[in-house]
Amino acid sequence: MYSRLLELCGFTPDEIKQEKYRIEKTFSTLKMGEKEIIAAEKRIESLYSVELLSVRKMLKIWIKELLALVMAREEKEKIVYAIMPSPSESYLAAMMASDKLYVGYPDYVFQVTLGALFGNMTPLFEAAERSGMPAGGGHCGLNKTRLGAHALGIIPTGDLGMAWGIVCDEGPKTDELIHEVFGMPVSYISRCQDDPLDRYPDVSERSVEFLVGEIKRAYAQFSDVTGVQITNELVMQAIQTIFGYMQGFGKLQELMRNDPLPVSQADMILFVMVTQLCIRDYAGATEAVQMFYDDVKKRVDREEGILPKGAPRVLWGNHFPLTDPGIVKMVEEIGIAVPFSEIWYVTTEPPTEICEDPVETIARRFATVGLLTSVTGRIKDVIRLFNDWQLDGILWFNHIPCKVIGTDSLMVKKALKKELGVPITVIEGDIYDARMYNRQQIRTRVESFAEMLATHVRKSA
Amino acid sequence: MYYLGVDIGAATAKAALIRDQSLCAEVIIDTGPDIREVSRRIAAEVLDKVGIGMADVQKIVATGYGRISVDFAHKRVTEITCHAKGVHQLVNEAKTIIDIGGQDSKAIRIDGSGNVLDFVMNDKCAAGTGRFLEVIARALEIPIGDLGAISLQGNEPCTISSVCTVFAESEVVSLRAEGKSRENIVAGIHKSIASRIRAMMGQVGHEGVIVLTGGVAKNKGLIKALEDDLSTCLRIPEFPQLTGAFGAALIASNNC
Repeated sequence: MYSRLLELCGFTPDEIKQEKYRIEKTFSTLKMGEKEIIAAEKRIESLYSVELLSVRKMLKIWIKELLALVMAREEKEKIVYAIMPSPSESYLAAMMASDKLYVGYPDYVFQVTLGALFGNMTPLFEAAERSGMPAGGGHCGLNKTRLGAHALGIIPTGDLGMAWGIVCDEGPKTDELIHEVFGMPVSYISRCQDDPLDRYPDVSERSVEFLVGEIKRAYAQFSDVTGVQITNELVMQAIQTIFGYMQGFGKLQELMRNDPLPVSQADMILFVMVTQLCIRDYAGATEAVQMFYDDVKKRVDREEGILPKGAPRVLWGNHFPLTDPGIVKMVEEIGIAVPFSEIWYVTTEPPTEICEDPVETIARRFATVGLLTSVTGRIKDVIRLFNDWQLDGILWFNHIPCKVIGTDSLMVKKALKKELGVPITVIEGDIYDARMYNRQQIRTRVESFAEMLATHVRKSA
Repeated sequence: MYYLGVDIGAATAKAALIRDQSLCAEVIIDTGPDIREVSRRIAAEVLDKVGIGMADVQKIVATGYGRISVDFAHKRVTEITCHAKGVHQLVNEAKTIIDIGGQDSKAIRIDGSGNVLDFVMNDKCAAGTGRFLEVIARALEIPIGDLGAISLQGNEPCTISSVCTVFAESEVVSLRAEGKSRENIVAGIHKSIASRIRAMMGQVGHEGVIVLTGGVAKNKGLIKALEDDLSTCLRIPEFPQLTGAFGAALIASNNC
């Protein structure tokens, strides 16, 4: 029943046979029956370049992440969950410390697999809405994902949740709720946010030192719970592993400068997400991103693209809707090339300096991402990217429930309009919950934006 | 040469037939559930009015949320662009458009040639749209066409604090129970819509002549509330519901 789906996702018949127990257990836990599997097959075929082995390879890596998450209690001695935004190097170091641990970001794994690949997130959201995050309450779809997964019992309760309240308060509050209802112990990591608004990209040493202290305190709590030490050597190894992948991804991202745009963002999302999280198979992911780079490079050399040469190119503000890659496909169908999204671009840039203390490298890199610093920092980053990529306009997806990246959208729009004088359109929704917007109304906005953009480009010429 | 614009909105479908850039026939009917059928019917009706057939129409442009389903159109253009073109033709000095439709409301900034410079839409939520007024009219048992005249009689508009149509409906029922007059309740409703529109106008920035379009532009009470809130006089085209269809017809005649 599931063989074709898994073959589409790069599994060989032998691998399917080997993984039979885990696959069946996982699909049964997730209530993925024949209907859901057929729907997932159609969805994957319509959204992704499954004709490319590199894409199928990356799909397999994501499916394996799903299996590892759902099977964690059966296969591992201790489970540690992370939330975003947080430096994934810490978690990779924790994962490397012992093969008896499951460490990961459960919400993002579900967002990519159950959401983007299978289109089957609604049961999780509805479960969250019955369990303390009511519908219409303006709660973030990402936090609902985590709560809903616990409420449905499709993931085991963690032995420790590491809640980063560095910019978002709802993430840690959700973990507090999970702690109260499901009994997961939680470690809270904080950050001082009192740098002057116009200081970015400089960062105060006091703020870096504070974050270093918080991360080390969290490592100590981790050790208390798991009995496993996160050493400096492991952290350094994790940094090198993730940055090794980031370099491969960075090369791929550079190909998106080509006109015509060589590949859809729907495919790119699969690869960029690896830069955000900690996964189990970096060797496989690094190989996949190199293969994908080779595939895309061939397209570039042949001057092939998903849009005609000369299509207007825009910056995408915030994330792409993660569970719904169909939105960015729709934008591309309308004739707009989107070479990257603002947040994913700025968070996939390697660190500017490697410090003696690897934890300081992590903290410093985190403290110098504009959008995690201030609105001023974010605006500076966007202007820099816009000019560097020589774009024509901005499509800003306002993640309404988010106090960090949603609240400032109108301020950002106003500042960018003044500074850049190009068409900017804001779309409202929830990047993690496709129920929170109407596709047809988004189409109207994007088509209007395209019409506005065409006039602007014509006038500028 | 005839050119046809078909605007399939959430509540009503509109058709505008033009010749030499001037309107020669128009039809407005309820959209209903079958968009394909209504688009064909409205096209046939507007052509009937001048006694011509489809073969006499040079080009057709479809707009509105149902534009994709108008399978006989030569081109589909968004209602935002069509309103801009239509309003510019009717009110040449217009710089900003407020369009309050059945399902959404929009604020659109245009340049001196009728090109869109910026726009914002209030969708997802029905508050501030024509549907909102329909719900309130039903709750107060007032024909929707009477809302304007009734609200102009209000001298102390009620404060409507709810930001949701459904909650506003129950708030209206509570206000009635408190003995507030229908006149002041309706005036309060119009005031709350005006406040939402002002927030949207703030996002696009407004200057110069502001034109109000959409079915609610016939509601004199809402016009007054908007004018009070924005401290300016609004211009209302002769057929405010038709500007989208008219703009679509103009686009058909110009560059389709």
